[in-house]
Amino acid sequence: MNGAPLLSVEGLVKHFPVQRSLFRLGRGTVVRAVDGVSFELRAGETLALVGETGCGKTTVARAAAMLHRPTAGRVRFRGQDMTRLRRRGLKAARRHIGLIFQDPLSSLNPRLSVARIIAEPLVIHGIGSSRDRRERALELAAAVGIAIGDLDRHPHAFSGGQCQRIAIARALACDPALVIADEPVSSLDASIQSQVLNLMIDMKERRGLSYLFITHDIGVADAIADRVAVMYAGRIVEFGGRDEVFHHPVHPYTRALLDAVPQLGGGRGTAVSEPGEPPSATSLPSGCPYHPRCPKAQALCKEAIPELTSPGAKGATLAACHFPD
Amino acid sequence: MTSVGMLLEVQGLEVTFPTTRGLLKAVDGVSYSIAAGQTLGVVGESGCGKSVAALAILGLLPPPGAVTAGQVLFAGADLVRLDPGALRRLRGDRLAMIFQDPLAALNPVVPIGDQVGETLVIHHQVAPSLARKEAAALLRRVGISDPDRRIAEYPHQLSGGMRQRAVIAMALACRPALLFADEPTTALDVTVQAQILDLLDGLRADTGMAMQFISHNLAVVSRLADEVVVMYAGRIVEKAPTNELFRHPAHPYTQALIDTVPVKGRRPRGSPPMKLPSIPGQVADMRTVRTGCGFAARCPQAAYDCRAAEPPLRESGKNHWVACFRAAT
Repeated sequence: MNGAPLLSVEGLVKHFPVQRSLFRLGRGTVVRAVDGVSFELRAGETLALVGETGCGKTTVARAAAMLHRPTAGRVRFRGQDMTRLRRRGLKAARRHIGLIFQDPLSSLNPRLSVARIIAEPLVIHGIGSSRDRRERALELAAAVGIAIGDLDRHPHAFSGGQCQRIAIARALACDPALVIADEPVSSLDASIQSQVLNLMIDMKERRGLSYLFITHDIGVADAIADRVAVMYAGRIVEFGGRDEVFHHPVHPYTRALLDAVPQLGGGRGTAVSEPGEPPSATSLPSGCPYHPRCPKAQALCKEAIPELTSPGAKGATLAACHFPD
Repeated sequence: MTSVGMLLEVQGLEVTFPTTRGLLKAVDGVSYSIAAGQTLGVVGESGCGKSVAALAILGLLPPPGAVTAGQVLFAGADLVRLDPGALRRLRGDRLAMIFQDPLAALNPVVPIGDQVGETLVIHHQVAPSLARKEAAALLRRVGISDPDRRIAEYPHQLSGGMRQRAVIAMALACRPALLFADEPTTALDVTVQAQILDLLDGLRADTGMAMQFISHNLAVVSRLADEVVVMYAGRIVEKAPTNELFRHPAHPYTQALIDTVPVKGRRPRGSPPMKLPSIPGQVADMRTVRTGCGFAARCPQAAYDCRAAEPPLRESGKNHWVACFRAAT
């Protein structure tokens, strides 16, 4: 590790109150979307946050950009504690963060031309003259593979893959240091997914970006990540280099998750299914949230929540498990 | 192609939607068959016609879509020409279906047990009280614990995986001969997906039903299917036994699709993130009229003849069919 991390998240907690009826907030009932998440993202790396629906990965991504104010914990970006910033300071800090969302069409304003959409972050941050911005939009469009002749068309005229290219161009408009991408290829067809992933890999190399890449797709994470954080029930259960986490998982959940992914041409019965489903974030089990599904669970797992620590001499991987492999 | 022992035979199926820009052929001369107890996987990207073909077979095409050619033989009858009443009697009984979104397939204000038992009441005039008992047995069969309590619950009280299990129980109630499953695990998490795939394959093996399993996900299809059909732009481009298809893909589209899917293990260990092989261009736009092969515009091997004429589906190996002029025979 050289120098300070680009993004550091410490003890992040995000609880959402549950509305019991239309008029009254239910007292005491909360969705524990994120329950104590800490990680560091180094400059120039791609950190993939993987996990299943409801594990809190999107909430972490949104909190990292301060789209959600965390219930507790700190989010440091380039050394600055973003949780202490208010409107103006936050806006200034966010200039260096680009965002890409899952649904390309709904994340683009249908009433703006593509040139205007790409230039929008420059408008918001008051960068350049309108001619500069137009030029910058042209340059970005060319970089992501949108034809210059299409720049005055509106989003509905584009396919999902092209819309995601436009979203990438917009995310890069202010030359961000960090791009947070939340399932950026999940809604795309198989033949388009790899085009967009390749574009993201290319942009990272050329522009020295760092990615916080959220995905439920192990194959996608395996293709793009330098390091991987596996989340379950609002916590990181395993964290480490992509080779270690995907080839030598130490947490039983990571192992189950990897085993459940069907392989190409694998044939009958090649993926193994674990029983049960992830718990509801409104009623998490005691102790380790994975213990009801875990084949290795013992009495201790029902009582104490395991901390994310280094399980052995190998050192590089962190796991939150009382009995790691 | 022989018809001996085939449960379902689709021949030259063509589905057309009238649009402001003329007729759109969503399915363009598709033929395949499924034997009893077999699983046929149908793969392709959005708009390739894989779902529309299934809806057409079931008589569930949204208007103004219509079957404009072909026949669908099932149990001696042509489903395309069957009167709506007779088709309705088959649907939900001998022919069952499950779709991607279980919540949309369930009635939010009717208890699960009543919905699962409903097909028995409708098709076999089973008394409602008996149907409810049978529903509990079906729910147990699809792996729902405590079914006697669950039958009184409503869809919103179940998780996504449980709902899809309930929908599968509904589909199985009348012991169908053929189950159409259209992206049944796409909305589910991967660990739950593995459970549902195991369940479906186990049920097929136990009951001897046949299955047409439709998915955009090649890996999912490869887990269940005996034979795989690959569709592109409304046509079948390749058809082969599952192992054969993945070992020796013959159509450039199938080859590219297999190469391009991000699967774990493709990138070597210790290697930095690297670009994946990719298919250039966009998924075929069905609204434009074209001659020749639908994949020609994206195909690295395309030549003049590919754009001039449509390659017919021909047998390139044992039970291996491919629609490509360039594919080796």
